[in-house]
This record gives sequence, C-alpha cells and structure tokens, in this order.
Amino acid sequence: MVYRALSKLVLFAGLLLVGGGLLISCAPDTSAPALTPRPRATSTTAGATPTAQKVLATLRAFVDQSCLDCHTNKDQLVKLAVGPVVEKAESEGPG
Amino acid sequence: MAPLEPWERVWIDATAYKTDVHSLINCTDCHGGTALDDMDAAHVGMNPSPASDPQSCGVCHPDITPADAASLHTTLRGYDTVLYTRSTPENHAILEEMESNHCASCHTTCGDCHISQPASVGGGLLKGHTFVKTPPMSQTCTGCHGSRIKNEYFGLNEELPADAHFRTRMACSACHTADEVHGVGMTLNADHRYDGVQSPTCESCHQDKVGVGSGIEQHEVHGTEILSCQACHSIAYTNCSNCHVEKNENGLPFFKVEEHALGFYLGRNPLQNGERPYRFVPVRHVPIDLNSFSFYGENLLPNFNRLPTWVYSTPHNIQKITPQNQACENCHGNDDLFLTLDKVALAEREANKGVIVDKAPPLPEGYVKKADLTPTAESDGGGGDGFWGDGGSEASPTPATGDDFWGGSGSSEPTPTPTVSGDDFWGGGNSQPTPTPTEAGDFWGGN
Ligand code: HEC
Ligand code: HEC
Ligand code: HEC
Ligand code: HEC
Ligand code: HEC
Ligand code: HEC
Ligand code: HEC
Ligand code: HEC
Repeated sequence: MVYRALSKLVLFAGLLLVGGGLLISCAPDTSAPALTPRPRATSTTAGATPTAQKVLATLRAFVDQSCLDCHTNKDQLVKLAVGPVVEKAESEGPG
Repeated sequence: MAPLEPWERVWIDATAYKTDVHSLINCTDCHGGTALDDMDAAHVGMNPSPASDPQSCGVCHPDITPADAASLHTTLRGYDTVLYTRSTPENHAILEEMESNHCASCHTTCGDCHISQPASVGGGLLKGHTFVKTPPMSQTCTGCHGSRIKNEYFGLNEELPADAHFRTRMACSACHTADEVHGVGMTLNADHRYDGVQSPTCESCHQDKVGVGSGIEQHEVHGTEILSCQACHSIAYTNCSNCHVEKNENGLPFFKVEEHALGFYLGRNPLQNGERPYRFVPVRHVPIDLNSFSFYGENLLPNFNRLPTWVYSTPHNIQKITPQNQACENCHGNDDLFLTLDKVALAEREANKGVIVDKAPPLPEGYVKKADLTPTAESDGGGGDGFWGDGGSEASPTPATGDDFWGGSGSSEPTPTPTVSGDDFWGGGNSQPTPTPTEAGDFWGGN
C-alpha cells in the first residue's frame, strides 16, 4: 500500500517535473539577447596552464651554471661579445 | 630604437631573470650546446634562437603553439597569396627564392615578441632574458610594422595627427590580444590579413556608440554595413607604387620604392563578404607592378590582373572628426574622395575594375545640411593645412613611464611628434635603411 502510494507520488512528481520542464522551455526567453559570437578585445587563455605546471614539476635541477655565470657577467661579455656582422644594403622609399 | 651594444644583446639580468619561471629550465634544454666554461666548446651545437622550433615552448604552452604555427606571423602566407595568385606554378620556385632573399627577417618567432628584439631592429634581449608578457610596442611590434603602421599610429606622417587611441596611450596589444596574435580562435592558415573574422572589431569597444540608436547622426543614417568605420574615421595614409627588388653589387638584397604619396580614397570593397559587408572602404595602393621582380626573371606575374593593386585597408590613424566626415557633402558628391577611373593608372584599370567607383554617391534628397563639425582640441594634431589647424603643435603623448607602452627603459624612441624633414619622415630614419619586415609587408601588399 504504502509502496503504491509512494510510487504514485514519484510518478506525480515525475510528471510535474516533465510538465514544469516543458512549461519553462515554452516560456518566453527573458534572458539577455545572445551576443554575436565575435572575438572580443579581451584575452581568454590564462597564464600558467596545468600542463606547464606538470612539466615544471618534472624538470631536472638547474645544472647549467657555467652558461648562466658567463651570460650574467657583464665584464666578460664586453670582452667576448662581437657585434653581428650583418651586412645590409641600402633600400629606398617607404616600402 | 638605438641598437643595443653587442654585450647587451646577450647579457642576462641575473636579478630579474631569477624571478622568471623559465629560469628553472636548463639553458641547454632550450638552446642545446653544452654547459662548459670554454665559450667555443660550450657553443658547439648551440641554437641562439630556440623559439624557431616552437616545440621548445609547446611542451608547456600547448594552448598557444599549435595555433601560432598556423598564424600569419609564422606562415607568412599573405606574401605567397599575393604573389602566387598573380603568377603561375612554374614561377613559384623563383618567387620563393626572391622571397627568401627579401623577406627572411619577416618570420616571427615567440622569441621575437617575448624575449628578444626582432633582427630588423638589431636583435638582442628585451629585458635581460626575462620572458616579457606584454610585448613592448616600440621594441617589438613597430620594429617590424615599422613604416606604414608606425607612422600612422604615432602621427609621424607629415602634418597628420596620431591615432586617437595612441593619444589615450593604448599600445598595439590593447586591441590585438594574445589570442588574436597567437591565432587562437582565428582562421588557421589564413590566406591574408583580412581572411576570416575581423579582429579586433571597433564595435567590441564602442558598442554603445555604433549604428542605429547611437544618437550620432551619421551613424544613424548609415548603420554599420554601408561603410567601414575607417571610411569615416581614418585619415590620409601612404600609397606607394613602382617597387622593385634587386641585389646590389655585393649580392645583398634591397628594394626601391620610387613613388609614394599621402592620400585617402574610398573604393568599392574588394573583399565584400558577411564579415566585411561594407559597400565602401578606404583603399590603399600597394607598391607592386608588372616589373617589380624583373631582376629575377621575365614575366613572373602573368596573371597580374587577378588582384587589385588598390587594396582593402584599415589605416591606424583613427580620429573622431576627419576631413571626409566633417559634413555630409564632404563625402557625398565629392569625387575627389573616391577612387574614380581617372585616379587609376591605365595599365592597372583592369586589375582594379572591382574597386573603381563611377562617381561619388550624391546626398539622398531630403537631407537638410547641418552645421559642419570641427575637429576637437584633442584630435587637432599637426600644423599646416587648415583642417588640422595651424600650429597645433603636439598632439602626441610624450614617452614616459609605462614600460609596456614604450617598451623597455629605452628613452631612445623619438617622441612621436609629426616630423617633416629628412630621414625621420619615412621612419626608421638614421642607420637602418634596410627593408624591415613591414616594409616588405607593405611591399607585397596586405592581401
Ligand atoms: C625556455 C627556453 C629557454 C631557456 C631555458 C633559456 N633560453 Fe635563452 N633564449 C630563448 C629564446 C626563445 C630566446 C630568443 C631568441 C629566439 O627568438 O628564439 C633566447 C635568447 C637568448 C640569448 C640571446 C641570443 C641572441 O643572439 O640574441 C642568449 C644569450 C640566451 N638566450 C642565453 C641563455 C642562457 C645562458 C640560458 C640559461 C641561463 C638560457 N638562455 C635559457 C629561450 C630560452
Ligand atoms: C617547463 C615549462 C615551460 C616551458 C618549456 C616554457 N614555458 Fe613559458 N611559462 C611557463 C609557466 C609555468 C608560465 C606561467 C608563469 C606565471 O604565470 O607565473 C609561463 C609563462 C610564460 C609567459 C608569460 C610571462 C609572464 O610574465 O606572465 C610567456 C610570454 C612565456 N611563458 C613564453 C614562453 C616561450 C616563448 C617559451 C619557449 C621559448 C616558453 N615560454 C617555454 C612554463 C614554461
Ligand atoms: C619579426 C617581425 C614582426 C614582429 C615583431 C611583429 N610582427 Fe606582426 N606581422 C609581421 C609580418 C611579416 C606579418 C604579415 C604576415 C603575412 O601577411 O603573411 C604580420 C602580421 C600581423 C598582423 C595581421 C595578421 C594577423 O595575424 O592578424 C597583425 C594584426 C600584427 N602583425 C600585429 C602585430 C603586433 C600587435 C605585434 C607586437 C605584439 C607584432 N605584429 C609583431 C611581422 C612582425
Ligand atoms: C606577434 C607577437 C607575438 C608572438 C609571435 C607570440 N606572442 Fe605570446 N603574446 C603576445 C601578446 C600581444 C600577448 C598578450 C600580452 C598581454 O595581454 O599583455 C601575449 C601573451 C602570451 C602569454 C601570456 C598568457 C596569455 O595567453 O595571455 C604567453 C604564455 C605567450 N604569449 C606565449 C607565447 C608563445 C609560446 C609563443 C610562440 C608559440 C608566442 N607567445 C608568440 C604576442 C605574441
Ligand atoms: C584601436 C585598436 C587598434 C590598435 C591600438 C591597433 N590596431 Fe592594428 N588593427 C586594428 C583593426 C580594427 C584592424 C583590422 C582588423 C580586421 O579587419 O580584421 C587592424 C589590423 C592590423 C594589421 C593587419 C592589416 C594591415 O594594415 O597590415 C596589422 C599588421 C596591425 N593591425 C598592426 C598593429 C600594430 C603594429 C599596432 C600598434 C602600433 C596596432 N595594430 C594597433 C585595430 C587596432
Ligand atoms: C580595445 C578597445 C578599443 C577598440 C578595439 C577600438 N577603440 Fe576606439 N577608443 C577606445 C578608447 C578607450 C578610446 C578613448 C576613450 C573614449 O573616447 O571612449 C577610444 C576613442 C575612439 C575615438 C575618439 C573619440 C573621441 O572622443 O575623440 C574614436 C573616433 C574611436 N575610438 C573609433 C574607433 C574605431 C573606428 C575603431 C576600430 C578601428 C576603434 N575605435 C577600436 C577603445 C577602443
Ligand atoms: C558616415 C561616417 C561615419 C561612419 C561610417 C562611422 N562614423 Fe563614427 N562618427 C562619425 C561622426 C561624424 C562622428 C562625430 C559626431 C559628433 O561629434 O557630432 C562620429 C563619432 C564617433 C565616435 C565618438 C563618439 C563620442 O561619443 O564622441 C566613435 C567612438 C565612433 N564614431 C566610432 C565609430 C565606429 C566604431 C564606427 C563603425 C562601426 C563608426 N564610428 C562609423 C561618422 C561616422
Ligand atoms: C565619408 C562618406 C560619407 C559621409 C560623411 C556621409 N555619407 Fe551618406 N553615404 C555614403 C555612402 C558611400 C553611401 C552609400 C551610397 C551607395 O551605396 O550608393 C551613403 C548612403 C547614405 C544614405 C542612404 C542610406 C541607405 O540606407 O542606403 C543616406 C540617407 C545618407 N548617406 C545620408 C547622409 C547624411 C545625412 C550625411 C551627413 C549627416 C552623410 N550621409 C554623410 C557616404 C557618406
């Protein structure tokens, strides 16, 4: 008995839900109009991705100290660095 | 930009770089080579430009690298499109050779925007090897987009004011976002710069001021599909013709543009489609002609007429009030403003038949002429001709604090006031008369 009453209730509740669902879906849409899917002048890709975090976690320790030491040593670089000898031809006009 | 000293180009700022997450990565993981105290031995197999293989960044930035690989900055397809469309397959190899001579420095790696200055401005690290999130405008973007866009945007063209957005200190990346320049959400392998969605759109920031309902008369009558925003809001830009590429006696490539002039012309929209529905847009003459590449061979562009030489354009010199929108009849009925047949060289009329306008559209009957608009104080830029007001000497902000805006600490960027004379006039000025990528970009024409 109790069981049948319960199942009726469940059925009723179910109908209500479906009906309600229908009602809602038939109701006029009062939400804001859909925005035109145009790219906006805002960015969506956020900074650190989970992938980056994961790769960072697996990095081996920093061992390239000799590279860093030289490239942070101004005096040494002044002695060693040579300007790029890129030759360039004269062009004319604004292009 | 003053070129960096040789040592500065390779100097890592220990203090700043230590705070950068990338400093956790071994140098050799990106650059190759071997960590040794002897420079020559250490540099064997070393790659100074690891970002030329975007996978070195892609392991950690997989949301960016695949799109970037298909973006115009990487593919440079815009150049191929305008050349190959005008040519035939048997000429492609020779055109490719010519491109590799004249356009080598156009290729843009992640490093060219985030780590070092592009080769066209002498190369070297931006900020002691820190990975700079916002590419500093004058060290990166205008290093390549050097002549046309820089001159327009900064107000370096004779007597013309800077872009309204520049005057509010907006840098390139205020409009051209990370996603756009990385190609995320853009057309993959686009054929040219106007292939696919507009990005950015003016509307994305000025929604309330646009079209019907804006309360601005000219917006109300025209809506948003008759004219592009630039048709009313941009001013004179550079039109070039007669470009030739050659090599000098030492085999070094160079180009020569013999004729150029500032002008503003509305033509029929050569790219009219759903994304760009406008009937009329500003059109710019690109410096290509039948003989541009004759140094490399005969008749390399047999299908020259397949593309117009007056192309769709979006000049970067936006003003609220412009000579053409000051009054209805500065535009309606004003043949001088439109690209009529007489303005197009005889040999190019066939190529431009889709762009040429018969005559300026008359003002439809029934519109009462209102009082003319006058440029506001802020948009009053250069001196000179009546429109911009005489002697309104300086419209541009002076370079100051904002690192991101001016790029670097370098106060060496000249104040972008309109300059008239000599080298400065065409930008680049002093010691770098070589085709920077934009110049090449301009040269090949945007689409
Ligand atoms: C995450 C990858 C990465 C790491 C790690 C890295 N670099 Fe770089 N480095 C780059 C990129 C990218 C550039 C810019 C050049 C380019 O466009 O690829 C660059 C540029 C340079 C330059 C300037 C090259 C030139 O000719 O302009 C030097 C010098 C340099 N790196 C040294 C080092 C040293 C020393 C280390 C270790 C302390 C290091 N790098 C670690 C990616 C890296
Ligand atoms: C081992 C992983 C890893 C590699 C390899 C890597 N990155 Fe990153 N990168 C990161 C992480 C993590 C961040 C986020 C840092 C943060 O938000 O604090 C980041 C941030 C950045 C930023 C933004 C900087 C900022 O201040 O917000 C840029 C630009 C960047 N990376 C470029 C590159 C380039 C170019 C390469 C290849 C030469 C590269 N990265 C290689 C992990 C990596
Ligand atoms: C190393 C040179 C170089 C640098 C640095 C550079 N560009 Fe470019 N850019 C180019 C070239 C070359 C093209 C044209 C490619 C084509 O048409 O095939 C281009 C195309 C573009 C385009 C149109 C295509 C597209 O992807 O939408 C925009 C917008 C652009 N650049 C903006 C910028 C901005 C903003 C910056 C600075 C953050 C910048 N560029 C830095 C060389 C460069
Ligand atoms: C033409 C210039 C240009 C090139 C080339 C370029 N970027 Fe960017 N990048 C930008 C701009 C502009 C931003 C936005 C900066 C801001 O919002 O302040 C940006 C932002 C970023 C950021 C910060 C996170 C984000 O998405 O806002 C990362 C990480 C990054 N870029 C990595 C890369 C990598 C990796 C490459 C190469 C595959 C690359 N970039 C190539 C111009 C460029
Ligand atoms: C106020 C917004 C805005 C700013 C700031 C801006 N742009 Fe643009 N840019 C645009 C618009 C709009 C287009 C056309 C986009 C389209 O139709 O898809 C464009 C197109 C371009 C193109 C491709 C067309 C061409 O003329 O070659 C390049 C390259 C470009 N911009 C570079 C730059 C550079 C470099 C800067 C900084 C000096 C800059 N832009 C600043 C709005 C802006
Ligand atoms: C990223 C946002 C952004 C984009 C994209 C943008 N603008 Fe603006 N614009 C601004 C801001 C901010 C100002 C200055 C404040 C103001 O007057 O609203 C401005 C100012 C202006 C002004 C001057 C208004 C005055 O009072 O002098 C005009 C005209 C204008 N924009 C037109 C355009 C056009 C045309 C485009 C497309 C080529 C465009 N804008 C793209 C943000 C933007
Ligand atoms: C037919 C010419 C015309 C076209 C097309 C046009 N505008 Fe305007 N616009 C004007 C005029 C004229 C004004 C100045 C009105 C005034 O000050 O009375 C103006 C003013 C503006 C302003 C400044 C508004 C303010 O509050 O001061 C902005 C921003 C603007 N336009 C953006 C746009 C954008 C974005 C587009 C493209 C969707 C566009 N305009 C298309 C003629 C035009
Ligand atoms: C910068 C140029 C320009 C300015 C300024 C301009 N117009 Fe127009 N207008 C056009 C063009 C181009 C068309 C399209 C003509 C065609 O397709 O034949 C047009 C179309 C029109 C139309 C027809 C609209 C339709 O729906 O077809 C009217 C009405 C009009 N303009 C009135 C005006 C008035 C009034 C003003 C001044 C308040 C004005 N215009 C300022 C260029 C301009």
